[in-house]
Amino acid sequence: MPKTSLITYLETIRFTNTSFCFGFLDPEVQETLVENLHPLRYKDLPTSGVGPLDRLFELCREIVNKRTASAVIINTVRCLESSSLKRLQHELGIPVYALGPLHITVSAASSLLEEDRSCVEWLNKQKPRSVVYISLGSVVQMETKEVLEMARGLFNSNQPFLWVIRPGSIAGSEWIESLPEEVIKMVSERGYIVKWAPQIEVLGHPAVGGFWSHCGWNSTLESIVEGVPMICRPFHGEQKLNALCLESIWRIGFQVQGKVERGGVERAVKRLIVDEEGADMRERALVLKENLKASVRNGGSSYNALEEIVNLM
Amino acid sequence: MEKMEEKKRIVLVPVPAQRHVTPMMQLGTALNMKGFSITVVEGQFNKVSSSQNFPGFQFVTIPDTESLPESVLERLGPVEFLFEINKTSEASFKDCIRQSLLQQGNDIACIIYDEYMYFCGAAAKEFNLPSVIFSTQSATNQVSRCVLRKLSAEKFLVDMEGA
Repeated sequence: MPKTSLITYLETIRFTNTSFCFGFLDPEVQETLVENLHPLRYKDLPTSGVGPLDRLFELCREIVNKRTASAVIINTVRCLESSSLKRLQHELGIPVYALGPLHITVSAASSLLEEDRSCVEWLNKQKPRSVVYISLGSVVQMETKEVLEMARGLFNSNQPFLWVIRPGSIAGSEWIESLPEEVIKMVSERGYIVKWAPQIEVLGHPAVGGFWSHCGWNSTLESIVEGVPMICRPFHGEQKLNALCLESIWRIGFQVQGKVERGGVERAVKRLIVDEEGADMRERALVLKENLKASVRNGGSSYNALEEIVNLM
Repeated sequence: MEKMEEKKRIVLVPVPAQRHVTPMMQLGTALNMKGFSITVVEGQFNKVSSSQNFPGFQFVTIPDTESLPESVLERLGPVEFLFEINKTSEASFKDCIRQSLLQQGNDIACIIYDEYMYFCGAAAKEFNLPSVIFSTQSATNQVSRCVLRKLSAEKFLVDMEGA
């Protein structure tokens, strides 16, 4: 596994490619590998969609500035990101503790949105590993047109699906009232829509076979902990990095890029839920799941990190 | 253990957004189980305290801290929004810590703040309190930031002109 190849020789990185500044618009440059950061491409650096680059770099300097802090705690796991963690400790010069995934250590319900538990009843009626669970997190917005393409693609895949559509997440619509009635009818034939789901419980449900996700870090960890492979649809910044790790390093997911259209949606769902390739991803995800669970058990890396932090304080 | 009895309060400063609040509150719960009492500093919006799931936690609302509504986020975009939050919150967070030290004695073991809430660093320094940075994102993302901080847009422009 090329786990250690991602982050090496960071300080020697030089942007010799002179079209970097406006390169984000140029598809060729987007695909270019960043020097010494294999398999990171320019488009994977968490810069897209945030405005002027100089302000972003300045913000990075503020965030990375440790000030008088004596340590950094990260909600990650050493076995997932060992080379990045080593690198970070070297860059910052203070101890870096990986004590994730915190949601297995403690269950602390802090949902700002109300979870609709009725979907668990619906899941109970579905076949094992047949359902694709779709949630694009607590922030992302989609156009009505994209949502319609998603709906048709999901329907055409013939797989049952549980779809989180947050109120306000469809541009210009309170909830789903901008969708035509026939689409709602079609969706409810094979799928189930909720405004917000108890995600950890859903991912742990035996009926769920895959997660269509924006790849936020919490969702990424939650999916791995339940051994659920992913269809990655990152929108910006760090989500793209997570998607890259899921696809190229841990190999438990793949990215769906470009415009959302029904054919692509249908193919992606089949690839993950039906195809052999999806089964391989699930197998790898199950191995990671065990590793992550072991890390928070007595003597595991995250367990030990928490003990060290407590002693530090 | 003796040390913990002297100073057993941990002040948590999350970013008031779901994806940041969730792991911060999990961390708080884990430390609470280890014997620390937890104070959560929050602003006017997206209050965690309203979720009622944290008996025994103290919640402190600060008028200015983290209090920018989402409409400001939309107007400014994420980068300028974070600059703004950090600018407006520094003084009021210092006041909050000053008051806490007066009212509850010098019992703060540590301030744990979300990496985006870097305004907390100034209070930690002024009152000579230990502080720890908490990241709710991947380590790889942080390393990428270490790359980005060494760049300057101006230099790119110069390089491009010279090319």
